[in-house]
Amino acid sequence: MLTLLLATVGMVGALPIGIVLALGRRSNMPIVKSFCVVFIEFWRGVPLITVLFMASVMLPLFLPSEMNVDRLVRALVGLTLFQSAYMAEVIRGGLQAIPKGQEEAAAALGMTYWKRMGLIILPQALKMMIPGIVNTFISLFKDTTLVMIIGLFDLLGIVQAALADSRWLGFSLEGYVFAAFMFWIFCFSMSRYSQYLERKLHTGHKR
Amino acid sequence: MTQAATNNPGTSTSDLMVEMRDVNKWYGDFHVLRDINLEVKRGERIVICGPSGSGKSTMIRCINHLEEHQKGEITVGSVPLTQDVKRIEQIRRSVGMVFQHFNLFPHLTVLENCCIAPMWVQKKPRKEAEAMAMQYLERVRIAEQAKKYPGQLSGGQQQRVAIARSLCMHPDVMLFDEPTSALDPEMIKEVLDVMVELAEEGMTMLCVTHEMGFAKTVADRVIFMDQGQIIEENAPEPFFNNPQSERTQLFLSQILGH
Repeated sequence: MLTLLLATVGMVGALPIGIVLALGRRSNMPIVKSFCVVFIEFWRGVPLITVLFMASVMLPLFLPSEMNVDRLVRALVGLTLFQSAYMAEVIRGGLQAIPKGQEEAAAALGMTYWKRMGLIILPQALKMMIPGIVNTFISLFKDTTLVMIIGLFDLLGIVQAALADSRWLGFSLEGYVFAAFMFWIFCFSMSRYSQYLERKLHTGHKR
Repeated sequence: MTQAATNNPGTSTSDLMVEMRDVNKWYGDFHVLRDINLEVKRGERIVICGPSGSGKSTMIRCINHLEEHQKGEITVGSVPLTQDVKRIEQIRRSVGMVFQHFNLFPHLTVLENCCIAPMWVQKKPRKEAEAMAMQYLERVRIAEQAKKYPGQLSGGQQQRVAIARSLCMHPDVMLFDEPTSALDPEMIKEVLDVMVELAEEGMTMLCVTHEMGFAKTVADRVIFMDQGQIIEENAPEPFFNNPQSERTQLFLSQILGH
């Protein structure tokens, strides 16, 4: 199902890109930092519809005609980049919540930057960020319905297309309710899973 | 203790563990460290005291480059401290640090806290790292808590774990940044006992502390700092009984007076 495909690829892609962007935005290196700030602010400043529209309509005009990237791939890339900007800000919030002493302690043990981040800071930050990350995922999941405007059929699009069929006449309410129910099931299970994760990863720490 | 410094060139100075020459540091316009000159020999125990804001923590944090100094030279072992990240990491591997707020990693168990640096920085196999960690946890008398998380331990226990975590890297020098200041009074002793043992084993130590009893028992030298300067430097007995500068006399009368 297209909804699931878009959402899964969006999530899987957005998380690592978001982590890199969040780290980049906190970096001391001016070039890396300004690149990340510009990237994040650009994608956050543009509505998702615009992104999808650009990806499907405008982009091919600028690309050489022999380069023919599939419409779905273009939508996926746009969606992923869009979400990763949001993800980056969520993760940056988590990184800021980690006390400075944690990185100092890791540094004092001789760890390199990447080890400090990968072994000490990110595991704690991501754990703290589970609610925020899942929140972003849920909104991404629901945003996938917007791919309709570029002519891709997600769950809601399929329902609407079916409603145009004369055999479905009079069942429009049932169709929409079904779509709403499916969305609710997925979103609710995501939020339950996040609660489970939080409980499982809780190590009773105080700072 | 392993002696990493002897592997490096320039071993003629190897009995000098830490050397600071005319070190100056500013926070903006604020001059935190003024012309600090300090030599620490292998096996020396040094206690640094002084009023808050006098730059004592800043000074020892410069030694492993948690703070950057702007002027002067610092040499650790025989490695001069520069901006070079590789060199800073090399120095940090041979310098252990214990913080006021312990800074244990809350997402890891006590044992993992002690193993993580030996495994990832020194590339030791897990088995070996764990065996060594247990040995050090035994020494700070907390081995039975190895499977717990830091959040489940008392402050004194956490600080002892933090000491064990540093020792697992076999440091040549240990820096203590007010290790007992965040502890309840009845827990101070258990941490100080561990530190005294460590000192008796011949570890090179620099301790920023207000525990004057500790200074009297183990220190080879006591350093008094005020307003970013080393005001007085002496063996504990003359330091406490016959302080030279007025500022030191005032400080000592205030902290020993009650």
